[in-house]
Amino acid sequence: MLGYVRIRKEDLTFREYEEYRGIYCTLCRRTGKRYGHAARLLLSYDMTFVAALRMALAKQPVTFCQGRCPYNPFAKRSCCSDTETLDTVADLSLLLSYGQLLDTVADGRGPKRWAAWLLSKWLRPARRQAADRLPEMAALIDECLASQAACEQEKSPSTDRAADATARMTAAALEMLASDDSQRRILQRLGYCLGRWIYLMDAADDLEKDRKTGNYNPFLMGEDAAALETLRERAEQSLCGSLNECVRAYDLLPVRRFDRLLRNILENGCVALQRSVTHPERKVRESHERSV
Amino acid sequence: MKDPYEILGVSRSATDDEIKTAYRNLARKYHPDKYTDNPLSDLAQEKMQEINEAYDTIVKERRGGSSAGGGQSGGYGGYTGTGGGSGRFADVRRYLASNRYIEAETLLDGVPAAVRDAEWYYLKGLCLYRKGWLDEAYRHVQQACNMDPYNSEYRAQLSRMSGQRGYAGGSDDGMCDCCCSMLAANCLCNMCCR
Repeated sequence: MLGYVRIRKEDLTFREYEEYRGIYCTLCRRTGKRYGHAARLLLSYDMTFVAALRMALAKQPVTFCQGRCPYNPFAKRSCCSDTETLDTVADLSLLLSYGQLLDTVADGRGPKRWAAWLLSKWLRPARRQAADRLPEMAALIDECLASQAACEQEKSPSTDRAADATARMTAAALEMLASDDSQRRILQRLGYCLGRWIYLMDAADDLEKDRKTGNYNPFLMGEDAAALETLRERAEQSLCGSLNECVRAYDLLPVRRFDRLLRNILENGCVALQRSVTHPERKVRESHERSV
Repeated sequence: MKDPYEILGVSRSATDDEIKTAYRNLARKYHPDKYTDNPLSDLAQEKMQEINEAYDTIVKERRGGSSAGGGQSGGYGGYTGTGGGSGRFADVRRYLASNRYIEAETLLDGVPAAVRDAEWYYLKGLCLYRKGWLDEAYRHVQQACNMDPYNSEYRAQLSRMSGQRGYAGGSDDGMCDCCCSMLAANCLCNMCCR
């Protein structure tokens, strides 16, 4: 996973931020405990959202306590009580990020590719362990990665088709959190659209780079002559459509806690990041305005 | 039945105005128009019904058992979805109405390319939308509108879909508002010309 699903810090209260960080820290710690220290490197904000969503739907209360980070023992951190959820999310996280890693090995370049290759070799036993815990998910991810590769090979111009594999993986991951049938349907839709958004964000982010290197990018197919701004605008429409669908699905969930936090992620954090990707020139302008 | 106050998310001591505001906010959130042709529309409808009932109960209770005449409730109701309908693609529409878009799409894909008309593109667009293939869904409905520009069903769907492809809350620049009003004006123009 790529870490696009984030909070917008300035719109959160201190307490909400602490809770978010508590979930993130505990997820990191559980991942380390389950799969070794190298696995922590694969952790992303996306999975923190998944963990918070799971806890928001759960009946049992979530409590936080004070702890310390083993890597930064002077900093105090909250830690989250719901380790059962976080362990499941850690398994999911490892499987999904390992897929991402293989993708980088397959079509990345330079030192990044070598680092990914090294890490993928290192984490092979961990991936096997996670696959034993969630065999169906592991099989689905393998299938999705294969269809992703086929789509890239074909150089399909359809954004929908290109995003389908990531979307289905995310949908399956969120579906695992459901406790009844209607929740399962809502989470399936939310996951599908969120996964789609994540994939398209990555593609929109890489537009400039992919045009130079000739890597596959669904927004670039058959659009050799179009200006970068036009392509970004088109990407923005697809991104908005996906994100609005996510919010619509989220609205139907019986959320018991963290509503403001989760809404902050979907309605503020993701939107802000999306704007900075589709309007990179505006970002420069804003920072300039701020300095003035 | 669940506590109506809990459903509306207000305390028992809330004033009538507070309850009305809470009801309005929730009704906006689950409004049928927001979920037209969405695969989750039935769930939204359930929610809407729950809120309507809760509001009715509270109003009745507060008026000492008399009926809630002139209340807000009941204002938001039935879905204007794909419905049953008749005609060439009646079975496809029936599948769509019961949320079985995979079957609907299989049926549509069986139609030879030479005889695919505006309605075909419209229905295929709806299938794609439910599947989550939002970009192609939009393109198909656009195609339907191009082939049959005076069909109000296709136009309404297209304007809904274009609205969804912008930022939900107020955008930086007034662009979105401008587009929306243009679209609305366009729809009205059409009604006159017919």
